[in-house]
Amino acid sequence: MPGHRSLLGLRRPTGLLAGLLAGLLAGLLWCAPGARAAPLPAGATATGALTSASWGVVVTTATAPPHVPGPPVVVNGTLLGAQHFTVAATGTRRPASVVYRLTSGNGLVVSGALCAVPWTGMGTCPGGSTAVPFGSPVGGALVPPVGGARYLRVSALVAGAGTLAVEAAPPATPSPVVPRQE
Amino acid sequence: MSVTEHGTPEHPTTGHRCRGTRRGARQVAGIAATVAAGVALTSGGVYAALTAQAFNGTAQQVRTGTLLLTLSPTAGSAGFTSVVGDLAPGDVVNRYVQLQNTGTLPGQGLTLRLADSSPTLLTTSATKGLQVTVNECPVAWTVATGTCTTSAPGVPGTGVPVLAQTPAATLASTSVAPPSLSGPGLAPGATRYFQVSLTLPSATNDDVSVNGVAPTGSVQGLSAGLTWTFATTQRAATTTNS
Repeated sequence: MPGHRSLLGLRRPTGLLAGLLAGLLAGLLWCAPGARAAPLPAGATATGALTSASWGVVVTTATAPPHVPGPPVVVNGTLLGAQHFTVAATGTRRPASVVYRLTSGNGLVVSGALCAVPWTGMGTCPGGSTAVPFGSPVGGALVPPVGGARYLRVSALVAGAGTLAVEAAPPATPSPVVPRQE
Repeated sequence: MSVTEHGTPEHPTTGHRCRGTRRGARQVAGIAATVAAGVALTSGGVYAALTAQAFNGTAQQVRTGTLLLTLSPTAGSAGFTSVVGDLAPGDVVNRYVQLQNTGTLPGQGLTLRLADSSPTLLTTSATKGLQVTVNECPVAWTVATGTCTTSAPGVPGTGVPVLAQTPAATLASTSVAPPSLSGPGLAPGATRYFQVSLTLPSATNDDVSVNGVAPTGSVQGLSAGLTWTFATTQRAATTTNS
């Protein structure tokens, strides 16, 4: 029957087309990243700032702030004279210890002394001074506090030109370690 | 159009008979009818067939699950949002945070990652930079003393280590998921309590400043903007039959 043949002839392409379309749609869905069955993720964040400490001590001829870090100061050759320097902390934490390092070409250093306030014109320290052993780690009163300064008097018998610097070790950490619970 | 004696239509103006035209019209009408019948037959909705439907009277409810994490400081702790200032070599700073799953789906595979908005040696050097350690307590930490006070068996006062000391540089480059951190997962409504320790190693940061000048490569005076991210994924997908 011609009509029946015609009917089958029309329905078969329609079914094929629908199948192709369905396959294409499924492919597109699969390729779309958001359509895959990926595990649901979740996250939580928090932000905070952190700064590390600095520790430094500078010896300078400047008597007033700012005392900026820089190269060692020059110690002039003197004969039975004294020179005065300011020793200032430049870091955010107090060093555990410092070393007063004096290098002199051909000199003989007699002594060094540290005063909490500027030395007087008479060469005295109100409240008393503390002797400074050059070249050895020292702590306590010989380390200026954060933001503070001490005043150094260097007396020499004979000294050629040299340099003076302060080496600062990292801050002390309580032992045993006591964490900051925050 | 007029009609002749024989009944054949005659063209109104020419007077020619239209017998052939009439026959052609019949043929066109017949073809059109056949085509219409074919289209009607081939279109799906016109089959003369009985149909039936069945449906649930009450709509089936389908709800998707949620997986939500919240990170907050443990009571008494500043958490991550306050500044850690002046960290020196050997210092240890503990922060206490709690992670809660406020969703409805269990989470699994918990990971931790750290990002620094302004990377320096603090978060790029594995040897000189920050070191991170995480301990966990089944209950909220006692912040003032940094202890884990619980009767849970096998849990010391220092808590259970979930992340051994790890360089921040490692955490900044990849998410870490040690088994003790990721394994337990996070059930809906559950909370995990962490102690996050930060330290600067002293052995590798024994920097001596000379006349106030820090040596090259020192960690002194650096800053970091740390973003801590805990992440989890949903529990394994399931198939249920009921």
